[in-house]
Amino acid sequence: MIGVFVLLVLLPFFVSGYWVRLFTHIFMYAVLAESTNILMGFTGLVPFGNVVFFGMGAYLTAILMGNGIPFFLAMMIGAVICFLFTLAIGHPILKMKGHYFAIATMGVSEAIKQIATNLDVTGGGSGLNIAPLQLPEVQHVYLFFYFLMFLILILTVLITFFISKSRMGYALRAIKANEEGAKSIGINSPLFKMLAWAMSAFLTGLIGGIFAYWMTYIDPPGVFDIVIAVKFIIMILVGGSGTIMGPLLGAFFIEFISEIVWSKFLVFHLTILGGIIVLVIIFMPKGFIWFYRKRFTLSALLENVREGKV
Amino acid sequence: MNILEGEGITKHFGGVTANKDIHFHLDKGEILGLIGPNGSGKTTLINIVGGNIKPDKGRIQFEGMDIIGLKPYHICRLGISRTYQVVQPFAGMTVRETVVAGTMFGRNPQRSMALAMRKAKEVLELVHLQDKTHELAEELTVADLKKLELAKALSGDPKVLLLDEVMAGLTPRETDEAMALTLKIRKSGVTIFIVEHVMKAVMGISDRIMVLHQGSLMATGTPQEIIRNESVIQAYLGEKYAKKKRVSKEGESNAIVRS
Repeated sequence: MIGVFVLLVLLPFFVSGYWVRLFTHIFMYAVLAESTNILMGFTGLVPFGNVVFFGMGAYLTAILMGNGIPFFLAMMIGAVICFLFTLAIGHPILKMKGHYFAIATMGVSEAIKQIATNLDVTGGGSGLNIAPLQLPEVQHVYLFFYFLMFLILILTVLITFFISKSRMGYALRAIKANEEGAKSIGINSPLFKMLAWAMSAFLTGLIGGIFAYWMTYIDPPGVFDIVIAVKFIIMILVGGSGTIMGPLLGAFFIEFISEIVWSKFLVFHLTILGGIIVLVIIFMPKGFIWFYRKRFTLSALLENVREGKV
Repeated sequence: MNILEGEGITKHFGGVTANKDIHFHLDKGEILGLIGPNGSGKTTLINIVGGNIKPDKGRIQFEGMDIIGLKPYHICRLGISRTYQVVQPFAGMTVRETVVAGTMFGRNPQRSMALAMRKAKEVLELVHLQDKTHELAEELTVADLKKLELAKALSGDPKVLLLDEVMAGLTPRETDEAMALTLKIRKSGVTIFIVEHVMKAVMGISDRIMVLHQGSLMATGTPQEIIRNESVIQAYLGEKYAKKKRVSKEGESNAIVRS
């Protein structure tokens, strides 16, 4: 673990800008996957519309910076607003379960996207420009975002770790297993689901803010893209839902493989990527993490067949 | 002193009246048995007390406080814990994790992990699950699942325990064990409201028994009074049997106890 940490700290000083950008992207998706995992992995609710907080974070940061507020403060305010927004809409939406919850979150996402497309302050459909980070060398800009994303990633992992070991973690796991039973042992399930979602919204919003500053230009189809949400949900599934390392592995795997596949097979890359994901889901239905916990053996495969997962 | 008191509880499900104007009370420290044929509304009444269902009419007071309309988790925190007839294990959590989760919430929430662990250990020893602490909840046998269900309810440190058919499906030996355990829990100061089909058990441990029939309260009394009550015999065993009983007055109580 420490080896990986040291490697990632040293990495940007030895590789080209392309790799630094790729890893910054991987860190970004790792945070998105891990923060969504707080809700999805622990409670079993799948928030397909979580990309809304990415977009909100990006837009709020861009608008606040346009009004002269420094980046870090703008990013924090944006994330806090995402947190509060979840508390405001959480009560009715979290009453829904399963597919209904997923669809409702997508509805929220689309609604906010339409608002962003039609307001003056967001620049409407033509998007917003953000004053770029001015540093003496372009390499330093790369490093700035690399380490900022890395820092947020570590923060996210620590938060997830502490949640999993806390009262809240026990509450969320009980809710995931059996909400009725959880309520009967005194767990205020609406409250804990809301806190989990708000926490994931906060972290997603932070990343949205950084993304805006990094890209220096945002528009509604770009930052409210449902494909981003689908992507980090796939990462969670591929890596191992409800675990701490799983979503990180998933993010690394999907981003890395898709980059390689994309550069080698320009036309077929989605077909190949899709095929790889299908294979992973078939042979490791609980994700990569399962690969570590239970050896990849014939008996494990047969167990999956017996449980109807293959 | 009444720790729990219900007045005029009525609940309809569509055209079916599950509970009709039921009055009941629990004295502090007693074991109140609730019996009745299938579909007589026993579980509905437990669900209403536990906050899972809201009655159409009626009041329930716990230590003088109105609890109708409170959510199950509020009620649990006040000190009423329950078990379910169909056990509700937390899949993916071990026995110990399940009970630790219970001790962290409930009436007397343990906020530190060390205290929660210690409390969980006590509860697991009480219900004799201390050897299974690291087994996953979904991999337990029926008897152990029932124990876990009880451990979950006890982990919240309740004042009143609602037991919904915890002994169904147990072997006679396990039933004896469960009876002894129930008495032990009562001795520790918990008031118990128990729904049970196993007559030997409910007659053996209850201080008082109430009988539901088609949603209405048919009789309340000590176990001895209940097994002599003609309308109860009729409801359980039919009109014909009751007539026969009237003819041969002897041994009536034993017949019920054995069923």
